[in-house]
Order: sequence, then structure tokens, then C-alpha cells
Amino acid sequence: MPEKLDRLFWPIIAALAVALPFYTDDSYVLAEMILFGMYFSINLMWSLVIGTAGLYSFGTLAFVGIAAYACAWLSINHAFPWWLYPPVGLVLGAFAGLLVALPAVRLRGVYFALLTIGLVEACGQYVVADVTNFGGAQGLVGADSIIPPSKQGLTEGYVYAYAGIGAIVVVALLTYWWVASGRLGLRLRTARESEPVAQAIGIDIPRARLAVFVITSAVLGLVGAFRASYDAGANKSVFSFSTLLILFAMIVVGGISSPKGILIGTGLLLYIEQHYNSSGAPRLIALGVIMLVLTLFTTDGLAGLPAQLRRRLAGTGKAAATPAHADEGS
Amino acid sequence: MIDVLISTAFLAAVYSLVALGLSLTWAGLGFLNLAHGVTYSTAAYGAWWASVHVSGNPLVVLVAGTIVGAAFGGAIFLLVFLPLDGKRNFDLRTLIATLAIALGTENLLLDRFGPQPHTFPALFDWLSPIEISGTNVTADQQGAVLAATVLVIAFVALLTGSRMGLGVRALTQNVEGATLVGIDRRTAALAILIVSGALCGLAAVLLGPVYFVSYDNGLQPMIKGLTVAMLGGLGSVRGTIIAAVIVAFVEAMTATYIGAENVLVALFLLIAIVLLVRPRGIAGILETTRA
Repeated sequence: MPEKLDRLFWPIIAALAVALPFYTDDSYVLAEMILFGMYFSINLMWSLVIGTAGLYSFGTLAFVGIAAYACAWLSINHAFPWWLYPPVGLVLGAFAGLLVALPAVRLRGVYFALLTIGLVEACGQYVVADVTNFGGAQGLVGADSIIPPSKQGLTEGYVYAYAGIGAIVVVALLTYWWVASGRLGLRLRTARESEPVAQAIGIDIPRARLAVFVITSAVLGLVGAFRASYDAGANKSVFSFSTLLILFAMIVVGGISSPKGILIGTGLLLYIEQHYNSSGAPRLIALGVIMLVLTLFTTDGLAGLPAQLRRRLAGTGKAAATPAHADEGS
Repeated sequence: MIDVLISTAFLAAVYSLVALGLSLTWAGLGFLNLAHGVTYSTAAYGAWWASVHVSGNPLVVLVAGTIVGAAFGGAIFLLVFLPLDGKRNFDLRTLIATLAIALGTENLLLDRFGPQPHTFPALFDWLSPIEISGTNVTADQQGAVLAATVLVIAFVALLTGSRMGLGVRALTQNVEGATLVGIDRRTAALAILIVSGALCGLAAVLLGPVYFVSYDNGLQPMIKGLTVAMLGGLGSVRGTIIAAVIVAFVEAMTATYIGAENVLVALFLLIAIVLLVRPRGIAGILETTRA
């Protein structure tokens, strides 16, 4: 892509996003875009953790879910209005992230994956089991919503939610750029590439990882807060393992290392997900095959494909020289 | 209390079978096999299919499950390890590839066999239930503990006694060193993945009568297996077996005295606490005491 077009990419996307509600009165389109906004924000934060920091965390949905449940619970039991959800989600997400990260940041990649997959499962099972507080399998219903009661189900109502998720997407994108292009991102990438080098130049690795985990969890909490207000409640589907897999597929297909890749991957797979909904299992089989093929043939997803082809054409495609696994007793 | 101990023995036996494969794959080959859960469910379906279409003979069922598990391990070698070994972003791409296999296979099973769980033939009905101070030990529990113990011993013997086992152990210690002394990483990888798959398939058959056969029943054993592998310290056989006993005990205690829904939460807390003190799990503790 030429550089000029490159620089205009995000302004154009932003302009289109702002213009959309003026051009459509189809609530279905808006609902799709709201879902897209949630997934996109989650994926941006996830790619900071898994891509930039190289921490194999699968706990993203746990933070979204914890915040969503907390907001819905506070609204039902203590009459919290919807505009109090974001601060609650932000603080709670950051706090939950801190709790998980404290033991986890000292661990090497794989341990992180195990711990966080377990966390999501444990949360999901817990909310189903606790019927008195969290409504069991049915979840919490009747929380205050960002959509005013008089506008429920109307296209105008969806515009409120659309504006809400729009604000969160902006926060997520700014957070992404702030972390990825700032000092923290540099420290994290150095630590990801070589821990000894990072240590030698004085980077406090656990601290940098703790920071990125808490920051992203806070934004994930924000998404959870939105979800509680959009659904007017919370249910166990926020912790669903298959949603986690689809989200993961989105960042993998698009390419983990750029917001553009995440935008492409999220959009593409969401489209497939929504439009071939009728054939549940075959669709997911296809998704698995696409993921596998892309992983085997591309190094950095679809967005990294041009660079990979250029490397290949220039004859500098990296040969199998480095041992993949040089791990001194993790 | 006796019933807690009995389920501890049963769960520990099965979890160590699932966890050993995960642990060795990570330590020897450097990737996390997230398709271990679907290896479990595929093997369970294989065993169930054999019990319906071939024979309900326990031996046939057991062998079928093992073969399907081993074949699945071989498939992971061909689809994941062979193409990606030594390539860019190996860590992340193997993780994604195994996850993709998990996603695809789980839904393939759902598509082929439907969502309803299948029941398994009784494997150990030739054993009669015995009674230990008032608590019944079912034939399935006895059989599973017995079979798993024999298998784990055989596995350890293979690992310590055979040439291939020596190669695998060398790989888990130091990859470059092992390569330098002429250990073929690919052959060892194939062996590790096939044996891991076979052990996982056996675990699936042994747990079959308890958890039934369904397309998504591999996730729970995999999470428990991961917990055990992590607690044990990845790559350590002794650590893994000790961890399997601890995890099984915690699970049995929680399920009996607090409630089955809190099992994962309790295990999660256990792991978090252990890793906070000992980031390398039980193997780390074993090593320090030895030094």
C-alpha cells in the first residue's frame, strides 16, 4: 500500500464509522457493527498481550466477563445507572488483571496459557454454579441499559449503543498505539525477543509485563461494562470457549502484529460467522482448516503476507537455521 | 474420607496419563499441544465405534482407543511439528495450529456423531465391586487404577530403559546438546507424539464409562491435564505423577466437601499459589532438595 494511502487508512475508517448511522436505518446492520466493535476492541487488547508482549494469555474473556457480571450485579442489586458501568469495569478489569498477572508474569509462555485457559473455564463454571448471586445458567437480567427503555428494539436505540461502542473502540485504538509505539512496547518486544538481552540493558521484565496486562485488562473491563449495558445483563456465554477460539482465529487470520490486520481478520471472520450461521459445525470446521492452512503458510497472518512475499522474492526468506526451542528448563 | 481417597486414586491415575503427554511434548519439542483434548474425544469415539461395530470385548475397545489416540498423535506430527519445526514464530504458530486442529476436529465430531453423548460398554465387569470400610469401589474404578498404574510403570520403563527413551530424555534436557550427540529430533518427536496420543486415548477409554463419549468432553480432561503438567513442572515425569495425585486429591476433597462446581476454582487457586512460590512447580522442589 502506498504511504499516502497508508496514512489515510484510519481517518477514512473513522469517517465511514461516523457516517454509518446517518445512512442506514437498518438495526441489523447497527447490531452487527456493535458486535464488530466489541470484538475489535477485545482483539486489539489481546494482540498487545499475545503479540507485542508475547504472553500467551487466553484470559481476555475472563476480564470482559468479570466486568460484565459485576456491572449487571451492581445495577440489579444496588441500582447502578449505566453510566457508572465504565468506571466500575475499568477499575475491576485492572484489578482482576493485576491479581492474575502477579503470579503469572514470572511464568514462561506456556504456563501463562495454561493458567489463563483455566481462569476462563473456572469463571464460567462459577457463575453457572452460583444461582443466588449470578442467576445460574440463565444469567443476570434486568440491568440498566445504555439504550433508554422507550427506545428498546428501535433503530434509534441501537444508535445509542453504537455511539457507546464507538467511544470504546477509540479508547482501545489509542491504548494500542500508546502502548505499542511507546517505551512500554519497546521494552516488551525486547523482552519477547530475548529475555537475557532485555535484562542486560536493565529492563524490568516482570514490571513491563504486569503493566501491559493491567492496562489491557482495564480496557477489557470497559468492553465488559459496555456488554452489560448493551445486553441489560450478563450471562455465561461471555466466558464461552468457542467464542474465545473464534476471537483467536480473528487475530491469527488477520495478523497479530498490526491493528490493520486485526481489523481485517475481525471483519472477515465476523462476516463469515454471521452469514453462514445456519451451518454451525461445518462453518467451524472450515474455520479450523483456514486457521491451520494460514498458520502453516504465512508467518504473520494475512496482513503480513505482502512483507512475507517481498522477503521471499528478495530471496531473504528466513531459512530453518535457528533452533525453534532453546529453552533452559522453563 | 475413604471415598475421597478412592476417587483420588482413580482421578490421579487418569490425569497422569493425560498430563504425561502434554508435559513431554512441551519439554522435548517445545510446543503446547492444545489438540490434546480432541485427541481424547476422538479416541473415545474410536473406542465407542469399535465397541458398536467390531466387538464389545474390553480388550478390543481398549486397543481401538489406543490406536486412534496414537494415530491422532501421528497426525499432529505431520500437520504441526513437521511443517513448522525451525520456522519463524514457531511458538505462536504451533499454538495456533494445534488450536485450529482442536476447533476443526471438535466440530467434525459434532457433525459426524451428533450432540448426544454415547454410552460406553462396561470394560471391567469381570472385576467384582469390593468394599473398603463401608465404601463401594466399583469395577470401573478398580480397573482404571489398575490399568493406569501398569501403563505409567511401563511408560517410565520405556523412558528410562530404551534407547528411544534416552533420546527423548536428552531432548527434554537440552535440545542442542541432544542434536550434537546424534539424536534425531524428528524421530524422537514422532515417538513422543504417538506415545502421548496413545496414553491420552487410553485415558479416554478408562474414563469413558464415567464421562460418556461426546464431542466436547476432551476440554475438561485437557485443562486438568494441563494443570497437572504445570504443577508437576513441565518435562518431569516424577513431578507430573506427584502433581496428578495432589490435583486429584484437591478435586476429590473439593467435590465431596465444598461442591463439584468449585473444583476448577480450587485448582486454579492451588496453581496460582504454587507458581507464586515455585515457578517451576514440583520438579523445582525436587531439584532443590536434591542439590
